[in-house]
Amino acid sequence: MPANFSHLTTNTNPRAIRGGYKDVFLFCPLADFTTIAKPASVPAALGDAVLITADHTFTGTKGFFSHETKQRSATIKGQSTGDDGAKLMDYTGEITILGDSASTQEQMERLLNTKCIVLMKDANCLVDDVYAQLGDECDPPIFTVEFDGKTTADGLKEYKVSFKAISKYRYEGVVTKSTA
Amino acid sequence: MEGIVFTDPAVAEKYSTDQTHDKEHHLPGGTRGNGWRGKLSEIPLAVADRIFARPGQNLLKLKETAGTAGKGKGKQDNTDK
Repeated sequence: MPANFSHLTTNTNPRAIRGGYKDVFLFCPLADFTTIAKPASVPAALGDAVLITADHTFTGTKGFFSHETKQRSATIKGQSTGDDGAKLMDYTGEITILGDSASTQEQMERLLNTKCIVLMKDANCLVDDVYAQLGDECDPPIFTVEFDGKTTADGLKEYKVSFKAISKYRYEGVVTKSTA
Repeated sequence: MEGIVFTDPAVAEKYSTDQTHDKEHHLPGGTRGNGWRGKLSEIPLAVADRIFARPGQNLLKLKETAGTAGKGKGKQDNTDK
């Protein structure tokens, strides 16, 4: 088992630690997975408890759905919660989908009550393996959706989607997209 | 439904797949810059080898040819007796 703590130094490359996530929202209902990868049951190094290196697998047309998001709207925030000495981190992801259509509305309404796993690609394009995963098989995110129809004077219709989970991981496995 | 046909002949010779739909996959490469994104049918051999080596993957299977034991199968070879 690794030690509980180690020294931390700041990465001097600002691109490596820039904020935000790519303008893409990836999600997949739990029922569509063939296998759901998890962190190693016996961590070998510090970080392994929140690192998933194996692959989520699928069959048939199943895989992650990809929604393009409003530019610079994707983010994840975290807040500690719980009593002193018994705290957890509670993470909330936020994205905005521009526009409204029958398909968009139906999907946003379905998302409210669908158990999913969410992936968001880190905005650091120096590496292509940094996906933040919110939720897992036991703790799928809870979704809330706000719709803003705007007016003819100010901008585009949009859906603001928030998803909240205790479980947040770094996913470094293969990401498979659905063809459904 | 027609199965997936690999466009790379080297991949087609070495691997088969039980996947029925030609989906897009992203194999991350990290800071090594050797990530790959594309359809399973278009996968190059080097990437296919990396994916096959990943534990629990269900995208590729080794084709069993004469003299090939296969990964962890210990199959008996009855040729050339």
